[in-house]
Order: sequence, then structure tokens, then C-alpha cells
Amino acid sequence: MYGVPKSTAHLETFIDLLSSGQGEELVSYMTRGSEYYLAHM
Amino acid sequence: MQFGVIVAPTVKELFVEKIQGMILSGRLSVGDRLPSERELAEEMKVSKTIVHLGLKDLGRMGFIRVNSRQGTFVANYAENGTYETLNAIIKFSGGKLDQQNVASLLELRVAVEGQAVRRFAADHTDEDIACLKNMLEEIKEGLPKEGYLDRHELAMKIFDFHLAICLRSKNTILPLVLNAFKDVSVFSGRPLCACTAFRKVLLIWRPSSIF
Repeated sequence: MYGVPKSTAHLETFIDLLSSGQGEELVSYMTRGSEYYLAHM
Repeated sequence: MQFGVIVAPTVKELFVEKIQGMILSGRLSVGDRLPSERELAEEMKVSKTIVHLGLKDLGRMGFIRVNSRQGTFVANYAENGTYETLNAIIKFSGGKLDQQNVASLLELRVAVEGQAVRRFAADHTDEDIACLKNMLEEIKEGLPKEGYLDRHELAMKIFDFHLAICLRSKNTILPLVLNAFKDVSVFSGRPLCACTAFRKVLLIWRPSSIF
């Protein structure tokens, strides 16, 4: 079973950053996630 | 456990996939001239109508271009392709994208959803946040319970979470752009492709704890 998410931590981070008005922080978070994924694929 | 319905491809879909495969595998190159519709129909043992409609689909996806006086030629799909073309590439490669395509999709995702999160973060209501929290609870319910929520349905719910952010960003076009890639993410919902579909969703929408 590949890829079934083990947690929803990243979605909770989305909600935390959105609700606190930290849009740019969230974009950085998304970018870092993409970079991490590419580095480990 | 849900097994879903098996849907057989139509003859036109098989024709389109055959030509796409020949182009994507390199057996047909950009600029190659295809036989006439009549010749293709005879050789491939299908009707001229199937060939005509199939070529129309291939043209829309940027795989071929029709010059009314010179004939039908293989085109550079990167120049004229759409999200349908991307679907075809993913299907041809068995759901596995190379690093460049994955990087491109991730970059697109950050561009589209990044703009949505900026707008959402700057202007939202308590009801917007409550909506996302409710969706998150539904996703949580489906996580570890094998058989409770199939992967395809889980992928759809995660996609919908990100779509909700775009919808509530108050930019009317961003959700349309995101939706254009829903097929790429969920791959037409065909049960046989469910695992592949989920992998693609992972690539694009990152439902993983490493993010």
C-alpha cells in the first residue's frame, strides 16, 4: 500500500497558517515540501 | 471493500491510444505524415468514421495537425497540448512520471494553489476555516482504516480540500485551473487505475506526512 498518508499533519499546517493569515509562510511550506519530495523520489 | 465497475474502452479510444502510443514511444516523430483516413481505416480494420473522430481527438490534444491540402502530420504536442495530453502521457507511462514532469506539476501546483492561499489567508471568515476543518475530519476518518474508505475516494477528498481553498480565495479562475487537472489527479475514476490515480494525487497534492 503505497502513499496512503500516515497523518494529516500537513493539512493541519495548512489550516493553521491560513487561519493566522500567514499566506507567504504557507507558500514557502508548499515549496519546501515540493523540493523535499523531488529530492527523495 | 468496493470493487467498482469495469468499463471497456471504445474502438475510438483504442484507436486514439494506439496512435498516441506510437507518437509517445517515438515510432512516429514530429513531422511524420500519417496515411489518409481511408488507408488508416483499411489497415487498422476500423471504420472511416472511427478514424475521423479519433484524429479529431488527437488534433485537440496536440498530437497531430491537419493540413487540408497536404495531409495529417505528427505535431509537437508540447506546443499545442492540453491537460488531456498530460493525461495521455501519464496513461502511456503507466502512471509513472519522470522527474521533470513531476517537478513541473509541483511547480504548477505551487503557482496555482500558492496564489489561492495568499488570497485566502489575507481574507477569510470563521466559516471558511470551519469548512476546511470539517473536510479534514472527513479525511482523518478515512486514513488508517483499510476498506473503510477506498484510495480513490480518499484522493478525491484530499483534492476537494485543496479545491475548497481555491474556491474560497475569491478568485473565480483559480478553481477552474485546479479542476482542469482533476482528471490528472484522479484519472477518470476508473477503478482499474485507482492505485495509479492515488500515486498521481500524492505527487501533486502531497497527502503525506513528509510535506
